[in-house]
Amino acid sequence: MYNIKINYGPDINTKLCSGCKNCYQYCPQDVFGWDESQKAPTVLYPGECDMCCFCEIMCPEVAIDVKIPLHNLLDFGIAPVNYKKISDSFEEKK
Amino acid sequence: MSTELEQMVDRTINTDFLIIGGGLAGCMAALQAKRKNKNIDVTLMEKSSLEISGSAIGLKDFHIEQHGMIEHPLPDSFSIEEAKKSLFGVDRLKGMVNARLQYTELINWLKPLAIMEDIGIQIREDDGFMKGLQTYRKGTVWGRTAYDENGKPYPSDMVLYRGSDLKAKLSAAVYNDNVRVLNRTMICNILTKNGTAVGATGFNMRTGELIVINAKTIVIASGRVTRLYPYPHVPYPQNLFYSVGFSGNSGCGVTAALNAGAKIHNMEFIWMYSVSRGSNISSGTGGTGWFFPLMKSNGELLEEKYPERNMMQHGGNIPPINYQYAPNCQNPEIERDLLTSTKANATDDEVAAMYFCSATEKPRSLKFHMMAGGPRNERPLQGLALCAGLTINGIKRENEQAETSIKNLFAAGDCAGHTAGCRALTWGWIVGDYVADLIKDMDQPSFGNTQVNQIKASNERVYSPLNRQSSYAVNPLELEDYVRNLNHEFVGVHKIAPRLKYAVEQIRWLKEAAVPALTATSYHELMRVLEVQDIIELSEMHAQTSLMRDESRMPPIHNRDDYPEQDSKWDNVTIVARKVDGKIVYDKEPVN
Repeated sequence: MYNIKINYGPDINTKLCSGCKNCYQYCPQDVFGWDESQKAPTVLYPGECDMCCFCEIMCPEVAIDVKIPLHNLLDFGIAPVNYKKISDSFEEKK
Repeated sequence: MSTELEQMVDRTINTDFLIIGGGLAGCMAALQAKRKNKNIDVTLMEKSSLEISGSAIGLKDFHIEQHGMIEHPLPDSFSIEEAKKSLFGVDRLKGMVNARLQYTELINWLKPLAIMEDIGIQIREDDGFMKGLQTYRKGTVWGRTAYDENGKPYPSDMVLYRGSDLKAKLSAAVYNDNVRVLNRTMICNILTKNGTAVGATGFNMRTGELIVINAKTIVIASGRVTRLYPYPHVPYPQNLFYSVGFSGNSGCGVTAALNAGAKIHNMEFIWMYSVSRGSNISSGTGGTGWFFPLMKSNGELLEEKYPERNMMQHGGNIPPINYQYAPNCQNPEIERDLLTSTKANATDDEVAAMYFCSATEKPRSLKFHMMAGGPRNERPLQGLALCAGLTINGIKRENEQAETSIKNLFAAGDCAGHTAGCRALTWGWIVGDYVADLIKDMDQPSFGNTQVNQIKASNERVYSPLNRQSSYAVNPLELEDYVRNLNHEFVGVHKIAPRLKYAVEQIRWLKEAAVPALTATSYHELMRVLEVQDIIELSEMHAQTSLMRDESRMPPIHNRDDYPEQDSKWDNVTIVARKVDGKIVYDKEPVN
């Protein structure tokens, strides 16, 4: 693995994950690995994640949240102090 | 096959029709070929996973368009001369696209709709009619709905459809048609025999297999050359992959064609990153230039101030601001101002259109809007676009069947970019339709010593970086970052001869100085090693052709600061690159 500390990309909630392999199978960037002993996905190459977020919508258990890098949040006007997971912010604020 | 070859190769496949790349062009080629001749054996090689791949996952899979064509059906008298005048026709692209191909594209552009409807994509509205959108208003603004003085919408040249599941349905149809799909497989080499394509090698980034495919016909339908410039507003390595289309597009199909001896052209007119800060310009996320007006700091709306300064003048496909209104190389007034896209006063229609488009893009578009509190609550985006590009570069097509300069090797989609916006579905349809007949009278090609040597070279190229012992292990991503920043700083928008010469020399030097030390510790990393070598080749062509063309044409796509004017000696002249004995040579050729 590339020796770079990356703090963005897919964040898998292992408690919710059912091991269906969707994320591993469909990720366009091949970011995920597969841990056969745990029957669970791993995030092998988070630095190559382009935040497309397909894994979020392909995951039947809603176990993945793609963390957005700080630069994107700030430029897009999303305050990190109010950062919520996507499942928390589905309703558009009126 | 010799024993030696058996040891090298994990799998051999014989097929009638090999498709490299499973995006819109590749899928449509497969579907049309199968519809015309259901016995044809089709193999499709896809770098990602067919269900989610290709640039259509990122942008605009909600319309089929032919800018400037407003008459359906086309009149019987429709001619090449008429075709030239379309919005992305020869005339407006400053003579850099072939008129015969333009004509072919226009007379075929609606044909894929029938297949799309057949496989369940919702083309029509509930009342049975198709929804059209006109892409220009009095020759100016692109994208937004426009009305004439009587409040009547202008005639449309774009069919809007509900395409959020387009790729899912296309891929399902491809599987359903018994196409052999090789997912996670990247093209390595095209195998040739006396100037005819006879097969290809592919590398599986999961299993590490080297797959040899013996094919009667091949179409390269891979992606656009998008990874020559960095996304400049974020740090490494995010800058390499924050892309609007399929982020895996390294141009590997184009280099495979180059290495096989095919002609590559128009490389000086390259796609660059087109962004507004915080998002790239996917229509939903950025919104700029699509649905929301751009404002100068004094409150002036750009589209009102510069009603004529847009792509009509310059050609191109994606309209971020300083491309659409005033390329920064031509209008410092805009470059030195703060441009914002504000959505606070957006109409309901505009917000709805934005959501409509967002829903067909990468899911992050909607996610960003949701996190920001919905478009009307968003802080204004800074509308600073670097520069956009054109898709007229790539593999050169020699005839109306999309055949390249190598016999039986075709090119469709972004890799062969023709007019701006590559008409992937249309060209995929054209190739699939032609190949289905062509293969009937063909025998399966046989491999001789030359092909075995080509496979050996492929094997050597692919696997030698794996766990390579060198005193300095070059990380492929780091090298890619270096090359793309080199392009950004020394080629870029403001091209001048001394900087271009430096770029060319530096890139050529990299091939000796860094490439032989590229190292990978896994098959996935090997894939990145292959990609960066492609990017280096493409960068060399980009810098060298930019240096050769001593004029400016369609700035900022090709803007030479030292030759700011368009020069008639370059009219109808394209620069063609091809590989001879391992070196890239450049020639000038007439476009038509």
